[in-house]
Amino acid sequence: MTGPSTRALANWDKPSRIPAGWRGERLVGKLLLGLAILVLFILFLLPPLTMAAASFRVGNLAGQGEWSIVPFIETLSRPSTWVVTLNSIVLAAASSLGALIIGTFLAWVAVRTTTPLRRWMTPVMAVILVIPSLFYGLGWYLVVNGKAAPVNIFLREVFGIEGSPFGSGWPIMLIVVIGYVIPVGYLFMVGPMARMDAALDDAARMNGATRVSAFFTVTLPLLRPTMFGVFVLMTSYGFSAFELPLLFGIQADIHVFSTAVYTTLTANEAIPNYAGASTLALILMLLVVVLVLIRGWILGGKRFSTITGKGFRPEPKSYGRVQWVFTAVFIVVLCWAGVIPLVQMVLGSFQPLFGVSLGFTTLNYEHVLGDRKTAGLITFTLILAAIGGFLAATIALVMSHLSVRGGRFIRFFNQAVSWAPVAIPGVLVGLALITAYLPVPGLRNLIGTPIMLLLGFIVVVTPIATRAVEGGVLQISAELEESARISGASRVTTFFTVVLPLVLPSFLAGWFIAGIGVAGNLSLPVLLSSPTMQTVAVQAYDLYRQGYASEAAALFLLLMLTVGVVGGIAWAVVKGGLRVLNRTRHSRIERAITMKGRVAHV
Amino acid sequence: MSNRQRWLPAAALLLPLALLAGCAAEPAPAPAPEESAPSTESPYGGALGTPEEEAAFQALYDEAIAAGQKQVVVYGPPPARALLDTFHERFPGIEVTYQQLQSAERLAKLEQEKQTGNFVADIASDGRTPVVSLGVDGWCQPLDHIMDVPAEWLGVDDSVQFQQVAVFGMAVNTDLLDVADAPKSWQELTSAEWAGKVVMVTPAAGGAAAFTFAQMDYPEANNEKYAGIKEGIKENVTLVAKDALVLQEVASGNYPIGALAYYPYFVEIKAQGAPIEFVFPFAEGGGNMWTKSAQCLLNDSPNPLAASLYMYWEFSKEGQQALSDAGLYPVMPGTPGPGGLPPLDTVELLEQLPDIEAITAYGPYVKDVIDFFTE
Repeated sequence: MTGPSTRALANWDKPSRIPAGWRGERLVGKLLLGLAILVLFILFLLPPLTMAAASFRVGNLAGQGEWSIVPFIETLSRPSTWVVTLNSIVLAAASSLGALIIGTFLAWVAVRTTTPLRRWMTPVMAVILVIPSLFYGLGWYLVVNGKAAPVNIFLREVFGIEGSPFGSGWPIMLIVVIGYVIPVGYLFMVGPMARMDAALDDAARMNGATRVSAFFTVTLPLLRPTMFGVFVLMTSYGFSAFELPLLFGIQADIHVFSTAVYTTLTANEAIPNYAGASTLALILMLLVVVLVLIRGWILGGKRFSTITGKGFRPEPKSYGRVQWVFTAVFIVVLCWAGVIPLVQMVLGSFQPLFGVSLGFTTLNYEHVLGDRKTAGLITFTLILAAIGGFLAATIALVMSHLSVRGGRFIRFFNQAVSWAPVAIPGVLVGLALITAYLPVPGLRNLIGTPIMLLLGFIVVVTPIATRAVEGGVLQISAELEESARISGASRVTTFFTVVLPLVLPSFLAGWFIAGIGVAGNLSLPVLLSSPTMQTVAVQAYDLYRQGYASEAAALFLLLMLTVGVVGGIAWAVVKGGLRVLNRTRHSRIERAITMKGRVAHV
Repeated sequence: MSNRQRWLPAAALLLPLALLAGCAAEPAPAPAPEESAPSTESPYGGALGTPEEEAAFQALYDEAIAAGQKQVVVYGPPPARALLDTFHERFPGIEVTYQQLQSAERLAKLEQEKQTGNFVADIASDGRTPVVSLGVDGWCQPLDHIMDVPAEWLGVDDSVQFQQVAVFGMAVNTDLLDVADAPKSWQELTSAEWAGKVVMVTPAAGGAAAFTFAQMDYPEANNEKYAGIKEGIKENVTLVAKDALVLQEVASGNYPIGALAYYPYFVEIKAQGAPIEFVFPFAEGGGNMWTKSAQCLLNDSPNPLAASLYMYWEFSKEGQQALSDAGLYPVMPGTPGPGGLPPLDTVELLEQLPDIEAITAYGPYVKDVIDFFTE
């Protein structure tokens, strides 16, 4: 006779065949993650993949029609393809490097020194960033081209040099492009720089390093994740630069990649050459892949935590009289990147004909303000920029956090998602999105609505927001989150009370830069939305093409003014809100400690 | 990272996207038809045409308003502001909106509307080859004009109309150069004598400039006639990035001559008081650049009545005069050319291929021109 088995006596349940990781809450988590991956794949990865496939198909729409390798071979065998590619690589790499160096230096001056005017640097850079590339370029064009150009008057009067010797060519093109992207470099770097522990510098100084060597051996190496990310991003976008190289390169026979993409697509107006243009896009894709791989190789396996525990002190220090030199550098950059083009833009907005001295008129403003559409255009643009920028920055934050704390697949996938849209040349990005989303049920029906426009903008600007946010996330030590968890905080609480406050400067920078990217984009509003839902950038560009450049300048200045006012109010609200939150947090902590029977300084 | 940790960020990613999708509204229903105003005889006092033609215009306008068709969307480069203002004054119940969509972008947008059934565009408007190409590919519907439009200004089984012709010439700064001393031909303009004094938009960026030199290369007869001009341009002429810059450079006195200046732009800038004059045509050697502008009513136009009213109006007396005032050659017999320019039939124009042949024939030559100016 056999009694009950030991298993039965021990009340032992037969183990489920489904592993623990695939049951209950974990299963829900996995399904949600899978769904998120699918959505992100369609939104972010499908457009560049469709563009790549379009290199080998000849039809009425990109990626459709007969398969053919002829346009691919034809495009790559043209010598001009390689000339423009080389020109673009040189321009993009040199201007990104220059802008990053200057931007990083100014960011350091703004947050780590007590230089006069340092508090003005961030708002000023933010305002400069709003200047559209077309008017920035036209402003500089008038400074160096023609008899009335200030530079030429100076050269003529002082040295007797006639003509416009600096009107075009590599030097002026680099100067202008670098000036245009310095604010981007600054705004990307200022967040991570502000959250870096000054104790690390102090430790280097105590070990005998000079201030300069501490900057180069401690500060800069720790900022590598952000710097490399921003460099790759700026280089990729620089590769697609259109307006500025066109204005300053053409006269010197310097042609760039984006012009080649555009002309390849539209050379025969009646039959667009999608395959040829997509073949050129493959070169950019290849470049982005190589740059991202190099970045991964350089950063691989190293830790960049600079925000640690109690010793964390980001206070600025005085560097003595040399700080006046820093101020002078800031003023030079301010004139270079902002004042000169802005003054030309303001002058132009009061001229009957942009850039030509035919008198003074307020007619351009009267036209713009008298147009009943103007208020709607500005409002729509601001709302779109604010929401699009915020959602892109939120996605960037979540993805960056996942990348840091997640496994290898998640890390790889997030990297791919955050870089994929960059691999599409700017002049093709609208087409890439529309041809990729058209076959997707659900998304197809959204095309033509503001929702699709918003989704498109999120896709296009998320890489920008990611570069701003990921550096900040990488700098946060895992110990801080672990400490909060050990102290009983939930994951959600830890994220919102530890991670978010520390990454907030980077997040806000990402939101702002992404918002500006939304406001300045030209092709998406035209392709993904309806004619009644256009942005200021599109309207201004249309005005320019119709010959109303002065009116376009007036419209953009009104937008900039509105951004300034709204941004100022938002900044005051956020600042006030943070102060209230800090005060509340401190009083809660003090109350909690007092209730335990002892008072401590926090 | 544990599985539990993953679902929170994943949910955070999905939530905004889900909210967005949830907010997606159904396409707005067409507005309900309104009561049409009673029509009167010859309501426009002869401004548009004969009493019968005007009656037809008013009937069409009333019908469009009654059908709730109050907006016309045109995919193409916008015309002069004055043209639209004149139309809006005449037919205040209908608003014409242009969207700057050309070439590949326009095709992609039209294809998207076709595949989704969410039609927005009423009219395609552009140069002749892209619009004729749309007509040939079956995107357009035939028109039955109110005005008696000569057959030469209609194409592809009357589904494409050519309502205007634009010309390109030399803009001369009169403070720097007497118009009488301006170059008389392409050959003279591109010679070393004028080196450094002429500015032109670069053909490397495509557009009308590239097309001009493609037409000088093809047909073959043109190739011989205009030999050396392309090379002369590259050698002696300052090339700038944009059309607008050409007139800006001439108006501000940086260059005495702007080549291949678009006459409608010239009209706008001259009106601002710039010291410039337009020289057209070249007195010797021909090669005067011109383009036919074209439009077609799309098959699936959501506002066909309002759209056809706009297209028909362009051939009316008032429409043709408005085009002429904007610097374009009207095509209806009896309407004077713009700004005192000579009638086109007295000008030695650049020879162009027939409409349908032009769709494919010029492509390789345009590409060659772009390569020539890029390398």
